[in-house]
Amino acid sequence: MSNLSSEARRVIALARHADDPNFADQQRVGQGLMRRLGAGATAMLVSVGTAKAAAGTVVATTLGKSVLFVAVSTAVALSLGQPSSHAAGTSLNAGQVAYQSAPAANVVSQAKTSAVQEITPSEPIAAKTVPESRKVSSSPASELPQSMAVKEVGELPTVTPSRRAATAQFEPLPEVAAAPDPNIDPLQPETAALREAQRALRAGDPAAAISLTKRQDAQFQAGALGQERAAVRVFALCAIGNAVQARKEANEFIRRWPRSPMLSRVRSACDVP
Amino acid sequence: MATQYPMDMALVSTEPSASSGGRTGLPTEIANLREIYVDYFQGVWRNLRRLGVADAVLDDAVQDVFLVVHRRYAEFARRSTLKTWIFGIVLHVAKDYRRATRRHAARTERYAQAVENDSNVHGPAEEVERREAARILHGILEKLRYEERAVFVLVELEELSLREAATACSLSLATCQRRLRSARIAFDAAIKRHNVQPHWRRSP
Repeated sequence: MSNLSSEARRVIALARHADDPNFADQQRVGQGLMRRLGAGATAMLVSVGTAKAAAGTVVATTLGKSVLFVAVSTAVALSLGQPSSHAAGTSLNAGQVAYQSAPAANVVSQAKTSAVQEITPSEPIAAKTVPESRKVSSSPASELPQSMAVKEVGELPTVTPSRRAATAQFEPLPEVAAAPDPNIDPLQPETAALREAQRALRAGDPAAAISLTKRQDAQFQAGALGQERAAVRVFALCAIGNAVQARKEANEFIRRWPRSPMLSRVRSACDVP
Repeated sequence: MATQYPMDMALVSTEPSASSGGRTGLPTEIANLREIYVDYFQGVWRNLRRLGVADAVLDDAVQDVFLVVHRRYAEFARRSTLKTWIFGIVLHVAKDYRRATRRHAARTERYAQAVENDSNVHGPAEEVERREAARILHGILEKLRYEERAVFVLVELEELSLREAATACSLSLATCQRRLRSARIAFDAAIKRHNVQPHWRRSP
């Protein structure tokens, strides 16, 4: 088929693998990707776990069109192994600290905006500008968080192409009263609780999921995962057939989080398939 | 041999529904970005490079591709194979990065210089030859129009079929074929020009 000359084909054959990455590239980029998935969310969920036995497993719960990743892993982004020299000791938890408050002493934050081109509707994809935040801590690999929950990036703040060079615009998270202890993630209990509600729903016990989310709302009044709990509750209400209440809560959800990545799923949660 | 990609790898799990027969509102599918990443990282990386994304921003560009995959998967809707869809994203991200960084020429120079330096180091003759070929390849690719380069890279280097390349590039088959033909002619001509230069060592 190719009408290339033999010499051209020879050059191509010789150079075909010249651009292949190595494993360290795959690890490094994967870690950065996970950081960006986490850092871009309005309520980044990063928790420090301890269950080494769970290493390598990933539990991802889809909430509507968005995906709530609850990754129980060795905290190596996308479970791709240990950090490379380029991103040694990258700690999502440390990134969270930097995200919430003034840069901690052990955090180097290089927030920048990277653009993904907006694509015309006739084209197969349409990307939106996404911010990137790189937060690298000096924590050794052994201190990497072992579980993380990353919300989908549907609510990323966007910038126009002309503002690509601007610094990333992050929706601020509630201020922390004091410099957090890097060994204690304040989101961990709330994340674990949400996970419990999600498990209940997925296990076919929507009543328990509703009960759990209500209890968690009271427990974590100023928590970061209210949106996720509300979504789970809407889905659970639909599952038990309480469409009236589900729609009521869905409307409240839409009012409170009109740009939520879960919006369409919540809106259509009780629709008949 | 090029990495074999699944034609349309399953993006969603077959995890059983949370409630039998009833609608839970919670989808059972799990968009597994991790699996996609593992399967497609290499292809995304090398093709971004082939398309001229600067090494300095290559990590970011690769991540952007997967962020788009993650965000837009709901719109993918299997209108094409996952492979062509992802390569379509690669083409757009590469174009955007080239435009944004305006370093593609510099990248080629740096790459060429690095290869030149490496070539001076003693090593297996085959490795030296491969590096030289890579330097030539990148130099020629850099001179192609991006639209032709994209088709050429997908077909000649990534070994996609013409139809797959057309889908990835959002082109008609005829247009894709025309661009490929044009790119091949340009590539061949560049190779011929290059061969008259003394430092291109031909294998016996």
